[in-house]
Amino acid sequence: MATVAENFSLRPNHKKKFRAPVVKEIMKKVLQQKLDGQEYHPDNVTNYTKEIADTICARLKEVGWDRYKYIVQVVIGEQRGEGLKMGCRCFWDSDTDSYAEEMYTSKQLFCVATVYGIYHY
Amino acid sequence: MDDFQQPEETTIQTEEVAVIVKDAVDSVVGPTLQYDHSKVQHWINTIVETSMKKLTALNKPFKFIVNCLIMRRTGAGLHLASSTVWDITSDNLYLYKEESNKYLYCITTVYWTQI
Repeated sequence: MATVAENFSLRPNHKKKFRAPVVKEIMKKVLQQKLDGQEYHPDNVTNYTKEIADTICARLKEVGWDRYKYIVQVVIGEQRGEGLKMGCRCFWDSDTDSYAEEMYTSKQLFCVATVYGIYHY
Repeated sequence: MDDFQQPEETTIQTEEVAVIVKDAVDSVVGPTLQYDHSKVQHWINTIVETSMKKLTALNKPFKFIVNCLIMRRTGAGLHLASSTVWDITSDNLYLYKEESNKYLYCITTVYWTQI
């Protein structure tokens, strides 16, 4: 009867921690891919927001950080020069958890994407 | 002889969070509040901090993220979408949109994930 002893670590290896610049790069590529040259139409923008959120989620899973939960939030609005403020507070373990944000603006629309990475012990 | 249902102390009901968030937003944004660029940051900070204090006072083993968005209402369109990779049995989100104010949009989201 073979038994396997596993090392259970409560913290991620520093190489496998959530790295904001890596995630920012992913988000930038996705936003540029999906939104370059697009105009604002209320019908298709709803689909864009969902697609962008799902694509970013899929790419994050490919990066291969273990035991991380991701929350991706995408906001798209019509560009009219209006004021918009977004704020957030997080109650988490700042050693393992972090966030990344990326903004995309064009003449027709603006887009703010945020990714929160939370470690599951 | 495992108890398959998690005991009350380790789950969060959406209704608890709803009450907290609605209180926090209503105390800052009423039906007559007009968009003021110099004060918006302060409103957001108040809403988010009040919500966070009450959420942590629940004393449950959860991590929270509270997000608040305020935009002036001018007829421009706004869309918000969220995609997550988490454990659907323990983690969830709550979104509250302020409807009664004609001058601004205020959308507050709370995400919680179990430790």
